[in-house]
This record gives sequence, structure tokens and C-alpha cells, in this order.
Amino acid sequence: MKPLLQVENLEIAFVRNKVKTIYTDKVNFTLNQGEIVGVVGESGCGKSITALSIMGLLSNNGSVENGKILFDDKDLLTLSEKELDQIRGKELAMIFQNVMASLNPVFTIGNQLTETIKVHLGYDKKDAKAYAISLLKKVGLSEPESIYRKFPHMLSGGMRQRVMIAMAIACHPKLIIADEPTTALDVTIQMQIMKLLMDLRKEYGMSIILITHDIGLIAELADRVMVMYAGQIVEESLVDSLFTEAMHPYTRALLKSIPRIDSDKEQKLYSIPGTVPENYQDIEGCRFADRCPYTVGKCLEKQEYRKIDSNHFVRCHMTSFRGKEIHNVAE
Amino acid sequence: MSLNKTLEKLVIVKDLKKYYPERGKTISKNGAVVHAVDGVDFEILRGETLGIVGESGCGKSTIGRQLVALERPTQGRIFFDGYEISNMSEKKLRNIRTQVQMVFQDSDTSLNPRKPVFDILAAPLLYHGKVKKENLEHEIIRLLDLVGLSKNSIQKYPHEFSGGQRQRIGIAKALSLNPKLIICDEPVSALDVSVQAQILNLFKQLQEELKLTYLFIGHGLGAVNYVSDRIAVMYLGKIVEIADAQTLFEDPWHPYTQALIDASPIADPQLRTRQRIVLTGEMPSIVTPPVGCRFHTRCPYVQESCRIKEPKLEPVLWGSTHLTACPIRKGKLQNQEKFFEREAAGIHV
Repeated sequence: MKPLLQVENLEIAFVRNKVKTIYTDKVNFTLNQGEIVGVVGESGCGKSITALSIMGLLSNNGSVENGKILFDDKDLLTLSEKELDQIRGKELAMIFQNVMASLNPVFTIGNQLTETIKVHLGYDKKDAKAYAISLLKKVGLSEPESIYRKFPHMLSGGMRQRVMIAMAIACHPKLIIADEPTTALDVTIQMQIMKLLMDLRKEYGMSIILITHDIGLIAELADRVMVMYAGQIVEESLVDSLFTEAMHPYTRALLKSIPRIDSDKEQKLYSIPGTVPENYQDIEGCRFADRCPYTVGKCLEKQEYRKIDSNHFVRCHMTSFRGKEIHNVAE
Repeated sequence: MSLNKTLEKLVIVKDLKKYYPERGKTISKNGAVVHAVDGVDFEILRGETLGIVGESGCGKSTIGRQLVALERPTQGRIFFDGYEISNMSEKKLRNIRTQVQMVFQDSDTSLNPRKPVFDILAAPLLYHGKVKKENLEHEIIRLLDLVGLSKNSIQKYPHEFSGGQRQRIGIAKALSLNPKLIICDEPVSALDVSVQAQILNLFKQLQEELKLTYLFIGHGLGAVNYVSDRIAVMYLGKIVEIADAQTLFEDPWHPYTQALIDASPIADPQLRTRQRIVLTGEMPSIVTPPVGCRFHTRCPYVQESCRIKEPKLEPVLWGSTHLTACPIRKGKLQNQEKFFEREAAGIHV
């Protein structure tokens, strides 16, 4: 089966202080119909800009320098703004982290929700309203009629996030990109939103790209996971194997540094020494080398993105034999 | 209570209440009030860490603000180190303030962006006359060293640091007056996982070195568990359960505690299908909290009596230090079968 989304050699650049710097290093991935792919990584690793470039929403100083984004056989990068508008919101939708900033504070929820419906589905005013209310109901909001008339600031964070989701699913998109959709929410509400997304996927068969820094969420939701570090994908695998046989030292370190409710408190929590290098674009070899406990001379050379098996890829030369053993020896 | 026993307790909070006027309004006789904290009792022992967890609006940060005496409680008493601080004069409080310090969540807004680290750390030291001018630099370098920052950072401004480093400066500032108690209000919530681990380790290490007592407020159960000896769970201005950390997670009695644990993502895909309580609906308004048990509107085990009488925070068994405010679950032991029936009915897979 043909993948729904294919990102090839994506390089995104930003101009800062008149200097153009490439922030992502040849990002490659595919996404199948109905699949949930999780993208994890720390702030500044390039996960959000990758998402924004798929949506064609990079800020003015950002641009895609290289690569292809094939969505449903169309290269999104070659489309005009007008053609993009046909796809955005209809087949491709995004849920943002900061909902307050992505809903317009001076229009009612109904106003904003029906706009999408009228533009993309061609409903008249009355039908659009009825459909909008049914959507609000669908995302689990009680009293949808009253919410329809309200302004964003009158709703709680969880309710606003539901409105965003209602907006995103209005046209039954093939792909939803959710960028930290629940980071600002409380855990019990987060759980409800996640359950909602899972149910919607089941119902409409849509694919989801879930961007988060919460590895717990990935474990709960994703089918496949990509780990990003300093503008590169360093590991990609099915969710089960990522948690049992992570190979990249960065992935392993991330997994070890999560405090759990059953973790041994006497033991020091594992933490990655140092910080993400500032000008990581200029690093020739492994970008994690200066923080990695296993660094050897070969790490300073360019790292291939190796295939371990059909679903598992890793950017670390030490994984030529199953990464597990070698790391256990070193530990 | 013997004097010794009393001295073991650094903080005693009795029936603490804090009401605020509803946003944009003033309290009048019949005006609506936000019941941010509504009758809370707890103690913090010397050298221990008490964690407080709960969702936004449950009153956990309000408690923190009362303890540092940034605000006066509406009702109730707070004792710190034997002194009642809830009705102390500002002048006397000045002395207490050096002993209770706070670390905030957002180091972006809690550090003055126009001042270099030196000035930020020097201000409290000079104000309280803790060091002589000639020793100032030496003392600041010592503080930076304590939190793992090099002395090169002394002339840098907050924006030149990463989030984790800024949080370290915040901690150095809290430590500068040699406090006994530090209120940590979501100090790691805004940090990336790997940085979060560094800061949590730092908190623990400092506690050991300096014999500090913490009140650790957070919403990430994993992080709170890691630093806390005991944990209190709050819901709508009330403590619903309090126990030592391990007991709380292994044997929670209150349905809300269970729901919180169930809703926290676990980094293990194998456990995806575990049984759990999924709460429906949102938290009710704290302007008009539900009558009876405040959790009854969302509780899967709700019974008629829950809607009438507000349950008290009581030991789960006689003499136990594990307290919970749910009489229904207390029937757990005597009434196993019935309980499991309810559980089967209330839980979604």
C-alpha cells in the first residue's frame, strides 16, 4: 500500500540576523493510512518546524530549502498558496499546543467553526450551524448550543482543545498533525482528549502525527515512533520495540530519565550530562557525541541512518550488532 | 503532645481556608467567592518532602503562597517552627521570610531580565544583611557552585541561560538566605525530560547536604513521587488523601487518587490495555463547589450519601498515617465483593 505521507530529505532553514541556517538534516519518513506516528524530542530538536513545513505554515523567515513532501501523491511544496488552501483544513489539519493563540478571541466559537465548514464543504449557513453543533457534541462537549455562541476566553483549556479538535475533524481530514495537543492540560483531561483522538481515528481511519516531549503519551498512543535530536531523526521504530530495544544512546537516556511512580527513589535519576550543542548544524559527526557515554573516535565521522530491520532504523554506528548487548557491556 | 514531638514538625497547618473574590469583583456580603483552599489540615516534618498533587485550580499553589506568607489566609492557622505566622505582624515576619523560600515554575518571569546573576543573588543577601560587602562575591560563587553553575555565569543575564540553568539560578536565590523550608511550585513542569531529571537530582542532593525541608507542588506524579516522602492529593480546595508516597501509589483509597494515577501516561506500551478509571466531565466550579463530597459529580462509585454529607479526612485504619476522605472506599476491606461489583461497573477498559 502506498503511504499517505512521504517526507523526503527535508531541509528547513531559518534566517536569523541575516544568516541562513539549515535546522533539519534531511528528514525522511513515511506515514501510512490510519497510523499514529509519535515524534519525540526536546525543545528545539526540529519536531515542530517539521510539522509546520508540512502544513506550509513556516514563519516568514523560514523556508524549505530541499526535499519533498508527498501527501496523497501531491508534492505539497510545489503547490501554490491557493492550491494549498484547498488541502489545508480539508485533508490536512493541525491541532496546536497553544489553543488560546490559535483561536481568534474576537469571534465566537460558532463563527470560527462554521467558517471552515462553509469554505471547504460548501454548506449554507443553516446547515453549517447544525453540522458545527453536531461536531461539538461529537468531541464530548455538553451543551454544544451554548458553546457555539461563546467566545474562546469563556471556555476552559480542555474545552478549547476540544473545539480545536472539532475544527480539525470537521472535514474528515486524512491526516491530523497534533503538536503537543495536551501539554497545557491536566492529566485527567489529557486522558479524555487522547481517548477522543483514538476513537476518531477508529471511526474515520485518519492518520495522526503526534508531536510531544512526553514519552508516556507516546507509549499510550503511537503505533510507530520517531526520536529527534538536534534536527535529525536518530531512531525510528515500532512502539513496542522502542521501549524494549531502543538502540540509540539518546533514546535510551531519554527512557531512563523519566521519573516513574514505581521507580526506586534511592537511586539517582539518570540525567543526560550537558546540553544540546548550540550550533549543531556544523557538527560533522554524531550530534549526540559530546553527551554520549559511549563515544569513540568513529562517532566524529558522519553517521549513516542504519536499517536494523524493516521497521527499525537508527543513526548510530555502534548498532552493527544488536545495540542492546553492546550498551549493556558499557553500562 | 510532648514538646519533642511538636518540634519534629516544622509546619503545622490547621483548617486553612483561603477565599478570593471572583475575578473582577470584590467580596461583598453576598458576592461570589472562589473557595481556593477550603479547610485543609496537614503537617510537614523536619527534613521531609511533602508533595502536593492535583489538577489546576485545586488550590495547591494557593497553599504554597500562604506558607511563604505572600498572602494572609481567610481563616485557619499556620505554624512555622513553633511560631504562628498566619497572624504575625509584617515586621516580625521579616525574620521568618528568610527561613521560608520559594522556587517558581517559570524562571522566565521570576528572574529580573535586566539584572545579571550577581545582582539577582546579591539583593536578598544585602537586604537581610546576611553577608558583608567584601564577602559578597565569594558567597555568590559559593551559591552558584551549590547548584552546579560555574562562576563565569556571575555577570550573565537570565536570557543567556537555558531553561534548566535558569531554574538553577532560581534555586540558588532560594538558598541564599539559608532557609529551613523551600516551597517548590511546579519547579520542573516547564522543563524537558532530561533537564527535569537533572533538577530533580539537584533538589534531592541539596536536601541531603543542607538538611532542607520541601513542600513540592506538582502535577506530574512521577516527578513528585521521586522527591517526596509523603504526598497529599488535592481536589477542589480539599485534601482528599494523604499517605507516604509508596503507599499512595500502591494502595490508593480515594477514587480520585486512583483516577489521577490511571490518567498518568506510563512509558510502557505493554500496559496500554490496563484497567483504569476514566473520569468524565470537567472539574466543577470552585465558586459553587458541589454539596457533599466534592468529587461526587465525577466519581464512578458515587452513592446517595456522597451527595449529602461531606466526608472527613480520616485514617484508613485506626492509627494509620494514611488518611483519606472517602467513607465508601473504607468499606473496601469489610465488603470486598460489593466493592468489586462496583469496580467492574465503573471502569472502562
